[in-house]
Amino acid sequence: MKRKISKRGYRVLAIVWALASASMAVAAIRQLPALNPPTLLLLAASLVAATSFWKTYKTTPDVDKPDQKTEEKKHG
Amino acid sequence: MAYVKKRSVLPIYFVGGTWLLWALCAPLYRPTHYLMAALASLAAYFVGKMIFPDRGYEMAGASAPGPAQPKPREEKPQSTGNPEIDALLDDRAKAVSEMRRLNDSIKDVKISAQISHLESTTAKIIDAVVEKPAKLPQIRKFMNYYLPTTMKLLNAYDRMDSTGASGANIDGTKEKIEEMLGTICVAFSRQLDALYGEEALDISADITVMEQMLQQEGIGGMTLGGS
Repeated sequence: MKRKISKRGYRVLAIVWALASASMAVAAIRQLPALNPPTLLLLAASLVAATSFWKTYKTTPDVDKPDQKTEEKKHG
Repeated sequence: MAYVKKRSVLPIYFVGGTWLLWALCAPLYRPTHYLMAALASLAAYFVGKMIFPDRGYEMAGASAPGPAQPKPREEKPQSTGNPEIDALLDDRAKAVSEMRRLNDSIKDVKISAQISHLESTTAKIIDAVVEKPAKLPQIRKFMNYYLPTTMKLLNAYDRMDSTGASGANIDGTKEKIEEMLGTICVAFSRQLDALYGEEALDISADITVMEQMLQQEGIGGMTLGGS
């Protein structure tokens, strides 16, 4: 069965892919002026992935919030 | 009481961080560079796992979070063909739902945890009997006296607690019930353990026979090295 990703999971994915796209951007800048297409392709792909995960994170309803009653009990 | 495991996300961030660090400090334009960066990030992930391991904690009166968790079985009425077992399953559903209601109603954390324990133990006891109906006579007293009396005590506690009033009768009775609940938790656990007494005896006998046979054949643990 396919596991549903939580809002928290989407946030982690968005951050990781943002880091990945930042890495690719740094790699692309360091290669200037001789840029190679695979680097640009990876940069574009990672940017698309990061944007997509970020958008999904924003639209996913938050169901991970702890039970209010349990929290009340914990803190008296 | 549910055991909740909270996965640490820092090792995953370490992976992203390693890639960024690699891109800043090392070349990243050949496949071998990507492979080396991937290996470095993998190492960072495991180091992160060691430094920031997953955390687990007991959450009283709550079920483990996660959308994939199945719904509790007692909510589904089922017929086994055996009226006694059907009645038992019905009692199980009633007892569990009543305990949940009381657990939600009672604010005290300790009592709440004890009710959670009683709820899970009761469900396990009845499940064990449903699995092997021959054990039914063993839990007659439990079903006819201990469980209803426990529910009565918990209901009394809930009623007194919900008044919000204080006095010799209310406080004294609540204290007595609190003390008694500890004993009941132990008794319920023992009742569950007792259901497996026969199996324990069978397994013990099997082990003894097997040990003897292995000894006779000369392939037992003690003689294996010597032959």
